[in-house]
Amino acid sequence: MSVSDRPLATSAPGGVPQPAAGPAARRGRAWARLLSPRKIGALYFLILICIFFSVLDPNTFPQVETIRSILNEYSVSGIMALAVIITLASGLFDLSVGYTMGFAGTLVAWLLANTSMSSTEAILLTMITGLVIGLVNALVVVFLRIDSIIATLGTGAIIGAITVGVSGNQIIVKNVSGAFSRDIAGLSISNFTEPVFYMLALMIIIGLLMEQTSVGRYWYAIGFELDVARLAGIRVKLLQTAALILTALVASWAGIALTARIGAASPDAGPSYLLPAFAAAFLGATQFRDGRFNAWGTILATILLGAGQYGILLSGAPVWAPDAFYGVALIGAVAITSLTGNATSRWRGWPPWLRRIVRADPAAPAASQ
Amino acid sequence: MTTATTTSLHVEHLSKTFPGQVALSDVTLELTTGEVHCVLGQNGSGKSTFIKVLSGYHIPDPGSVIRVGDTVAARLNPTESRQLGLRFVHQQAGIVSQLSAVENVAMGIGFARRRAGVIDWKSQEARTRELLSLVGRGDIDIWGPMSRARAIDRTAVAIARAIDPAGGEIRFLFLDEPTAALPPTEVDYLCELIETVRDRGIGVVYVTHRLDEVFRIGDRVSVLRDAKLLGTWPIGEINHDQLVDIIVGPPLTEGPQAEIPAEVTPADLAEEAAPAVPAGSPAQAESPVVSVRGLRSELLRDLSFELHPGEIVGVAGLAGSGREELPYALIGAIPATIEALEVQGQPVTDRLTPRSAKQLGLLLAPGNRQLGSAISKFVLRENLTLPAIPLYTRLLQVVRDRERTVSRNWIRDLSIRAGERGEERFYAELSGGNQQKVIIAKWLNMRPTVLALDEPTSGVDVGAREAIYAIIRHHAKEGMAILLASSDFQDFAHVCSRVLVLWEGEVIAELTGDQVTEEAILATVMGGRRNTTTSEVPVL
Repeated sequence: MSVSDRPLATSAPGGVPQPAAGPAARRGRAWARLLSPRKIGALYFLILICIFFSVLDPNTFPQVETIRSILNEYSVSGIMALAVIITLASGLFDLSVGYTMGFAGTLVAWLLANTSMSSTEAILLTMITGLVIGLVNALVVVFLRIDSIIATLGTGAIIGAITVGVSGNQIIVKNVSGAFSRDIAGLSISNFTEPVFYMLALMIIIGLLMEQTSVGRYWYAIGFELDVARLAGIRVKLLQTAALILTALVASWAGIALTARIGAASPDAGPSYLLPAFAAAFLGATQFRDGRFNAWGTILATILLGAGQYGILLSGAPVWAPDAFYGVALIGAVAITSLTGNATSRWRGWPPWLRRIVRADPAAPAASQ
Repeated sequence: MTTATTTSLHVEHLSKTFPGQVALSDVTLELTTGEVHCVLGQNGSGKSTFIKVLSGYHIPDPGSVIRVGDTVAARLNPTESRQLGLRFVHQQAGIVSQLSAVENVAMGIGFARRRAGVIDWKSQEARTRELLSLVGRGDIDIWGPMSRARAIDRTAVAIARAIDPAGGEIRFLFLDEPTAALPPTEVDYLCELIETVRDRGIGVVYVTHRLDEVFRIGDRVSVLRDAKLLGTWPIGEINHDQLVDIIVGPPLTEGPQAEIPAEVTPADLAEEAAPAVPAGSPAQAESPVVSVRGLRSELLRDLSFELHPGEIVGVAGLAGSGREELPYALIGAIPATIEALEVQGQPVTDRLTPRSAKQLGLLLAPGNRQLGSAISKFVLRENLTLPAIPLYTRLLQVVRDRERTVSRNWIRDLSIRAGERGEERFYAELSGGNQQKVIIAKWLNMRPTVLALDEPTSGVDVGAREAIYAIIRHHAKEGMAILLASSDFQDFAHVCSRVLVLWEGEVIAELTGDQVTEEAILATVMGGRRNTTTSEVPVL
């Protein structure tokens, strides 16, 4: 590529950094890093949760059915969390996703109930509306330059109002629970429901998009340092617009999947998915990728949080316990994410043992001045 | 608030050592009330440390003695400093932009309160008005947020807060480069204000880079160099040129150019030590690669210049002269207008953005401490390829192996010390010099026709500094035009064939050939307009 073809000063002794070991040793260390508890702590935590509930509930918890239930139950949450990481990576908060999801779920049901549209047509129209929601968010956030948290709170409230208006604040069941429900959220391979496979497919697509393409690299650059991205000539507005649209589209799909899975559309179903989505996104960012929002960690986090919540419910804890678990998980996740950065200045005043624990990358040098 | 009798502030054997660096070494100095005492010195000479020790921010080394009147102390904390009558206005003035003048003034010694503890806004307002009229700014909007106020009014509020008599007796007012951020028209006002304060019997300690101000309002002047106090002179006993000589120091017998860095072989040096294009060489006659006419930005006023292929042009100037804005304005990264821009003979009519400038081959590499330089949470490879990702993309996929190859080549060519993990090392884990090299590599990788560098050696050790000079020279020799803005005059002396000196947003001098020495640049930069009449330096 366009490397300066004449080396500047290659003859200098000791000027070239030599890898201290061969590729095999390097690969070994890479594996060790990948499996380190600091890198995939959630996986070990998941195992602990499973052991805990298996001991607590030896008859019901350690069953294949449990895995199936957790995945079936939390696949829509997983899709929502995937929706959220796209905008988070590009430095924006989209708090309207919950309302967008609720709106899409309601709209698709309303279309099925009140028009002669086929499932495909209703879904298509709903997705197009989702795209418009993304565009409106982009208009407010990117072009009117309103802080994304405030802007999407605003657009979210409006979307929520429209949802209630469209549904007449009624649960829509007509034409939803039948063929539509079976087609979109029916049982699939080995009794997993279809949304589980939507989640896995979206994880792979979004994961590859964010990590393997230039668009993903640009999103991360914009999210980490807006000024660097601008000076590098990256089209910041275009890419942030694309992120907001994609988030709205994925959230719309989550709404459609939820309506199909339940077989009914409730106008207030969406917003309750907001907190779990952000919790999974931030916890996921602490996994695999050193503080970067990523699809793999997000799904791992969704399953971890799902398993925790499922186990709590199964053990007969009070109804508020799962929500409390989520709240604590979110705060813990954000704290860990913000502390796994590499800036040594952040670590001033922290005891070394705590730094070592929280720091994601064991190969990083101890904080030094 | 005035003191009837003269009080002295004695500083004896004051030293301050930071890990790996002596900031002040055995400074003994006497300040008295009722005089304006100017403190001069280059960047890093210890001026700010001196002030911060007296304000109680830094703890001096053992053995230091501070005497104010009858009080003797080995060190001060901020409260003691205030009780002794020392007041400070720091460089950034310490004004909270979101708050009003009234609230900012109250941050000094607190709000006036009623009996119940509720803020007495009426008397607080009256006090603010009174203080501001004391500094000649009684008419400004005291309730609006300070972000809307002009720079001079912010400075005025900071000074008003510092001389608030409610905080106790005031003996000395320390001003750390208050004019750096001020437009030139306001400097007059500040000078008058300082004289007013002095006439009230307060001692003013004035840190500045501008020699014209020293001769205008100073009574005595002290010069720091390399952490040492070189002496104190009454203003009448010293002239401009002598002062410049003292600040710069004797010419280095063993110049940094004599030190051969590990990365560069002697052969390379011999070849590249000479300025890439000597003044008046054929390259000058070549048509310019970029020609700028009428460049304006917040600080720049109608700037025009040309760059020729293979030329390294320095941009020197004090803080606030526009030097810090020029590289960013050139590529459209900050709001700026250009009357006429030609790149390689072709007129460019559209307003530049970083993106369109990139397509024209006009690139900017900010210093590693500057905004927009690099992403600390990206690894070296990702930082290096960021502007050029499309080059490494095949069928939508960014091919990591291609990125790796390129990164490794740059790591080798620029001798970047990235350790075992090489191109996968996080940027934040690299040393300052290596970070700087990564930033430069990132932009060189785009093969610029014009590369603007801002502070390329800030926070960089000696070895890396030499290596960076070698890189700059090497690429200039290959035909790149380089614009180098820096606050470190060494940079110019090492690589530049021509230096533009900015003052108040305009080019006041252009130094070429033999004139490109640290001393000459410093004299021109600090002298300001004086050059236009007294020095033989050609004026653009």
